[in-house]
Amino acid sequence: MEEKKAETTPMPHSSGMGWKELWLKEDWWAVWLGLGIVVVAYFFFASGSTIKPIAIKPAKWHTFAQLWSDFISHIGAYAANFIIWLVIFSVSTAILGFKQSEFIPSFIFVYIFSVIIFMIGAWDKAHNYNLEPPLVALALGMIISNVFRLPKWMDTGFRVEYYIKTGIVLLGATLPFTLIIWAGPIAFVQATIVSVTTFLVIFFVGTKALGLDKRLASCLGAGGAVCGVSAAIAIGGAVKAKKEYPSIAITMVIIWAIIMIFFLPLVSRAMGLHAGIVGAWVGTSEFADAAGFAAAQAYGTMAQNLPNIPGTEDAAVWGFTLMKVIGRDIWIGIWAFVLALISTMKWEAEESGVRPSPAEIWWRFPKFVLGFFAASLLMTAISSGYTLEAYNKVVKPMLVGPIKTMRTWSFIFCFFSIGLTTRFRELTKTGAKPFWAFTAGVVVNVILGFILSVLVFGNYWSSLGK
Amino acid sequence: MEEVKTKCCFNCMYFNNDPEYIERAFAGLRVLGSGYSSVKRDDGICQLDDRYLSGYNVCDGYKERE
Repeated sequence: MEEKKAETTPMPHSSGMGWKELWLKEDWWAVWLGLGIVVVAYFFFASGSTIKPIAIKPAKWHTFAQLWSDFISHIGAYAANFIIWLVIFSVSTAILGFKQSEFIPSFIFVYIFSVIIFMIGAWDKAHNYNLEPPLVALALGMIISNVFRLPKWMDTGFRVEYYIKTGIVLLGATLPFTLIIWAGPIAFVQATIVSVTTFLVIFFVGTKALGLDKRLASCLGAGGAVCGVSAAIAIGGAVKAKKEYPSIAITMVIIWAIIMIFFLPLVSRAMGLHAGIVGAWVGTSEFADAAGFAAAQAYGTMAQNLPNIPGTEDAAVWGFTLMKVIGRDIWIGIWAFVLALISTMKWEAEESGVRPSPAEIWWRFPKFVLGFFAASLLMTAISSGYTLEAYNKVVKPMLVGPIKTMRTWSFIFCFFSIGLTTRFRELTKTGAKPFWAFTAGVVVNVILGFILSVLVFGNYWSSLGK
Repeated sequence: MEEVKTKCCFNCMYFNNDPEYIERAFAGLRVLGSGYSSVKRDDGICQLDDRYLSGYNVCDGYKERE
């Protein structure tokens, strides 16, 4: 066997990191930061105060004079908001191993544009022109990254997954745990039907019709059926894929996820679908959490501001979260374990691999979901001590509302970062066969997701947010 | 007494699971994913076999990292 010189790179981990992941994985940091914000917000609230002043957001505006006046009168709050985000993200990313000489200036760039994006969304005519913050953030980021070439080091601050995971933990605080118990089983059933069907379509079209390697088809199938890029690399590692296979799957997920961010909300708007139904549809038919939240949030904002779209912003976001996070994301460990077993026991000619352990299911579990559940439980427990009237009058504006605003900031950081990191010239070429295998799954996924969300469970999803 | 390293990819000179390296190796990973995520666990790239796999594996090409 020809010897290859190993590439000179930083010393990797000499064993599994085990519980060191508590401070070496983004998922856990999303839990610490998200729950930290919720707990601090609660302490302020319990002492008769609120974090509302620093959970600042632009007021609705009609003229530039109004916009400028609002900004200047709250500039101290924006500065405090910026400092809080900068401190918590820079401390945590320093511990994760990121160079702060790169992260800090990059995050400043993200924050400045996020303020502008937030302001555009607050324009009273924005929704007439589909200028929803997630779509503006994505489009602006893509224009900047594909037309102008930003220095590579700035990627350090464009942490899509870290921002969305932190946002999802904060989202937990605004989603009642009772809703998770009530709607979770339906979300699981619908998501499982679509996920399993999509995976099998991609796998069998890929292997039987197009002659793709089983491991490549598995990466494509997981990417299209379970949770996008995360699933593609999790399954890639589980089945010992050739190095280019996860890359091919990643390219396919990105292309279709970006298309769906625009397609699903715009088609839904044309059909006047209820926000809760669209949330569920996006949850089954989008490929990644970040992209899905962009689509769901965009439609939710349309519903909140346009009279011909029924439902609320909460309904769209809750529907998506239930379907994607609970219906799909949390099962990735099981998918990885099962496919690893199949790969080891059926596909390998020689038994040189290690039989997978069921512990894979825990170690690959997306830990940020624990923070999501914890935040939901905590807030539900706090709210249970109030009447509905007191909740709406006090808890909502002074505790839940500011947390929701902080969540929106984290989401905008994420959506803008998606655009900034989507550089089509750098994506791996896929070839026609993987493209058609994945696309076959997309078509089935979108149609089946529509049938289940609109026709079969439509009444159910349209009752969300009431 | 000299430390005896477990014969597995983690201790092989051809294996690299550094998250930054993984993000550079997989174009587009950062767009909707991360090398620092829980789902990735400790997986890495074998530069001998050009595969992406768990560090708990081992093969005949194993060569202990110095």
